[in-house]
Amino acid sequence: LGLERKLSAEEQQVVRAWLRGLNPACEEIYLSICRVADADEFPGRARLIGHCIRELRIRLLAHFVGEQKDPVDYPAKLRAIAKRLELEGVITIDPAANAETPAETPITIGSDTATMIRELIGKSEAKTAKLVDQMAELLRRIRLESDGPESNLKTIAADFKTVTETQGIAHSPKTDAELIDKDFIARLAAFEGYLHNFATARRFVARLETLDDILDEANRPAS
Amino acid sequence: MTSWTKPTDPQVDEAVRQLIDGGHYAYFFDGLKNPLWIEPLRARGFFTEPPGLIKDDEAGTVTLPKWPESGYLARMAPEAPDLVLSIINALPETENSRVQEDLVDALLRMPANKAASALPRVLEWTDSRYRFRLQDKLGELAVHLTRADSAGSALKLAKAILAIRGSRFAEGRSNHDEWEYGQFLEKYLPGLVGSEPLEAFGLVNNLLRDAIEVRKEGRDYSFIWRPAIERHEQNMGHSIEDHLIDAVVTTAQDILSADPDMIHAVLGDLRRHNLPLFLRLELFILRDFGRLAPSDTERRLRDRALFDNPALKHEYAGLLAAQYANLPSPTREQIAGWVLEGPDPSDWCAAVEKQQGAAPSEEDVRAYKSHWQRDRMAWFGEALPSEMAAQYEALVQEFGAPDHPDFASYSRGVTWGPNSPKTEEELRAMQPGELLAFMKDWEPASGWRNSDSRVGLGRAFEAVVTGDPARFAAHGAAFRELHPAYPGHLFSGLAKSKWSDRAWDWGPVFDLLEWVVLQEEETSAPTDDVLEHTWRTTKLEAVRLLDAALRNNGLEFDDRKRVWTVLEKLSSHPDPTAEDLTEWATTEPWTQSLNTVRGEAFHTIMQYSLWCHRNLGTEEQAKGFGSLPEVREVLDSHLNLERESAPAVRSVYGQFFPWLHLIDKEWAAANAATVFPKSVDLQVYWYAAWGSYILFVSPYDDVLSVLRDEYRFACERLDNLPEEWERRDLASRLAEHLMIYFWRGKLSDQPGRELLSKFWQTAPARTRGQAIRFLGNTLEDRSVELSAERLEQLQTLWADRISAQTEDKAEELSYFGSWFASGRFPAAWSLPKLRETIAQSRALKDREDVLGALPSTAPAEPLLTAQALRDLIDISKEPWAIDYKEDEIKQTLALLSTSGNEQAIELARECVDVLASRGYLSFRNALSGAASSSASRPGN
Repeated sequence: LGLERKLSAEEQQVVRAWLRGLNPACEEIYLSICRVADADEFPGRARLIGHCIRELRIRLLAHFVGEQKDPVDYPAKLRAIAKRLELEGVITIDPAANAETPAETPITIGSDTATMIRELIGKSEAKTAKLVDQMAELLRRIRLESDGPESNLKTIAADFKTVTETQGIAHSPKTDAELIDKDFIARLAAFEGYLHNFATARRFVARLETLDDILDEANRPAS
Repeated sequence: MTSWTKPTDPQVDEAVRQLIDGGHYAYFFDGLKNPLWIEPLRARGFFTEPPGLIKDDEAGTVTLPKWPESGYLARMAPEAPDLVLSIINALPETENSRVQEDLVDALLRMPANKAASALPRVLEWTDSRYRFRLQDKLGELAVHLTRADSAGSALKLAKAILAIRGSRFAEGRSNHDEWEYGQFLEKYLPGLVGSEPLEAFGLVNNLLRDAIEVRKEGRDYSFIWRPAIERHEQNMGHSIEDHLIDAVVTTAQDILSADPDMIHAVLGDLRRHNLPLFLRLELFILRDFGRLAPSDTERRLRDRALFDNPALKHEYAGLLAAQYANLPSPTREQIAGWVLEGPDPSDWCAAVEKQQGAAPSEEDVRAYKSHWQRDRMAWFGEALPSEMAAQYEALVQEFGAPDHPDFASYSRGVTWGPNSPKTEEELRAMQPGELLAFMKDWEPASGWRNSDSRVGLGRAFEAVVTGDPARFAAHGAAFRELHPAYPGHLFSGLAKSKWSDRAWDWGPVFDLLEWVVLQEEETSAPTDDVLEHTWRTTKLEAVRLLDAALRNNGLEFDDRKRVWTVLEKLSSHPDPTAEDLTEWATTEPWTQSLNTVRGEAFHTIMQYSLWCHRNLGTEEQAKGFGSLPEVREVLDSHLNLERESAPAVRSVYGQFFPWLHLIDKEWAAANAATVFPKSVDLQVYWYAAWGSYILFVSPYDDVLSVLRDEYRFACERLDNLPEEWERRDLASRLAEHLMIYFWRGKLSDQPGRELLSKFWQTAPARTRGQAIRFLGNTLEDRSVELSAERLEQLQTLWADRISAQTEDKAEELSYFGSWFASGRFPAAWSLPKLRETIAQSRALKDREDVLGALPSTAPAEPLLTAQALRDLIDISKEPWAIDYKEDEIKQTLALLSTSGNEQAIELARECVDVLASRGYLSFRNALSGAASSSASRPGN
């Protein structure tokens, strides 16, 4: 049996047409999600869907905001820090080294090394913040008119980031049976919902009707 | 209270994910009524980042963006006060007073005790620079806080709002600031007084003291800028200090009316401030409430220092009149005694002696004492003791009624215009001989203000002459005996009379004119009255009389010689002199020409020439200046700069050039280059002649061929537009001249095309734009016929301007809106041109007219119209552009929706989407058959 889907076939067509307009490869990736999700049986589909979601996110960002520049080479940075720590005697990588007794003066991390660690943490945090900013920019460019209020965008961008943060799923050692749960279905629905919202972002009046339905529901007094 | 449904997480997530567009975001928060959504929305990151101010330094604007979230919080505050309060207290600081307004609204909607807990937060907003409605909201909140248990919150807020020393007034006060301050006190102070009367009274007193100290006048001069404590016509100002004085008075009155026992507390608070103004306030309060504090009243009235203090006069006198009868008998006698005894004149005598160099006479001293006593007696008003009544009457009899004796000085405002010793009616009733004798004998009294003057009499006489010129024209000779002012007024009166009914004899007037122009002008200093005629201005009136007569055919042609005799004499009058070559003379020579004798004489010589031309036979006319040798001689002679250096005179040549050409084409052609000299060192004369020509003359076809070089030279000068041109609008007038010639087809030949090309190359964008708008206005005037040839030329021009390679093209192109709006061009051609124009200019003047014209193009050209509408909406971010033409836009959309053109319908839908997203929800159903619900709930 296929997975529970949020979008109707017609809505999926709207999303596909929009993605095709951006880049046919994007449509392909979305089509992969649809095929894998709708198939009666498709081993490892949770991981595949996770990969596709991440891939689409990257491509959308690249299309609307641009390629990410100056990527941080974490392994290289970490190797450099480890080397310094070794030189300072904080850690030892050599198993033959004498470690029977500790030095009389406890060894502390040198200030340069501390700075390197702090900078790396900062870069990691900045990358996350930058990613939210980039996603906010993505949303800003997708909407009907790019100017207008900004304060809503960061909140939604943070949510979009959470929804599309599927690295853990894509690289999970778990099986589909363990991965595909209520949250997974909700995440897929949220992602598809976003794609549909993006695809129809310029249909302001039509989308008001969706909001009217949400408001009707929200404003209904308790029975 | 409504019982609400708690939202589920998926419900909230789904809603949030819809809010990418600013319009949807506002629509959702504007329409949300359920307070149970606050918490989950907050958990998702809302209610944390209010938008700040958006400053556009280039445009000099500040925008205060709306924050839909704060509007929702304000509405939810009655149902979830604690939650809303915690959000308000946790928000980062914001300068956006629009957000602050919402948050204050929220506080107003919750119980006062809860609202009071946000006071530290609110105090941050009282210094807001961009207050708008915030000021009122804060006032309402201050009054609301009076209901809180914790004492002082309301006054603490009021104190912060009204603080004089805060940063709010650090850079000065505008009139609006002062008005707003007064409004605030008037609206909200009574609410504060009601709850904490004495504290509120103390607050306004403190604020008033601060305001006085901030003035840094060294001492309290309030009796000058606020002569009366009560509202009085003598109080001219509406300053913050004035508003505070009013507030102190009304607060004291309210307190004492409600609780008379508060009198000592009220007086005590006033006495905390050691300034004369507060003493005046005390005297004023005691005037009405003195019976509540009789000993205080008595103490103040029997204080001789207060009695003698000129700064306290008004309030002391008011208190005396109101409370004298209630004073104990000895005090009454004491005060009456001061008055009856009279003043010590020694200081006054010393002052007079110092000023005049001699001690005043005994009579002067007696008069001084009498005036003093009369004025002090007047202070008592109705309470004047009977033993003084007879003396007071006698003093009034002798010296007249006192003149506002309770004011240190009394302002009567300004009387405009000079006064005449006799009214027009009185002068009209006099026989001419009697009137002339009166004018001969009457001398103005010395005095500098409000006294009758020769100018006043002269003007009244002038009006009488205008009404009945024949009565006085005949007496021209008699005016030789009078002050030169009166012949001047006679000439002026005659000039203004009805020329069509002229029935007076010029003979005596010419006699007088000829005599006047021969008079030596005074070399002594002019009279004190700058308005009074001198011989110079009387000669100016003489030439103006001739000018009026010539223009109105009010002379017999037989008098030609007599007219010329006067004009010839005045054409060499020294005014304007070489010394008059001031900045004004060089920047506005045409104005100077009308206010100088020689300049005006040249205007009149031009009228004389035309008058002669009209009266000469065809044969004589054909001879041009050959029939007017006297004129040619003067004109030629004054074109010689060694003979005539006044730009004012040269400006007259420019202003009358087409008529000089009319009279003598050869002379005009031969002298054009001299009249408009192009050499660099003579630019002041070129400017004088060209400026008056271009500003005051319409373009005549005949003249174009003679002045083509001059037009070209003027166009070349546009390249580096002199500041004066900018200021006097010379460039736009040049543009108009050229566009008129263009419209008439006079620039279709090669030289004409070159001239136009020069204009488009050199004119700045604004001038080019004005040329385009001028043509646009002509196009819009449907009474002006447009030939097919002209239409084609205009189309070529529009296309050329779009493809022109100039850096500042955007501004120029923005003026093409009126061309499209005129509806003169085929829609299939003009719509694409409009789009190209918008694409390059990104702005359009007359945009509303363009929007208004689209319903007429939609049926025939739906797609082009839809594209143009989309473009226009794109550049119409300011709300008014849409507001003004909402109906026409809807009409266009409706036409597009039924056009059957799918692309046009799709674009129309996009237009509706964009408009709705900007908050114009009334467009939601603008497309008939569009799938949308009938109601547009939030924001509607």
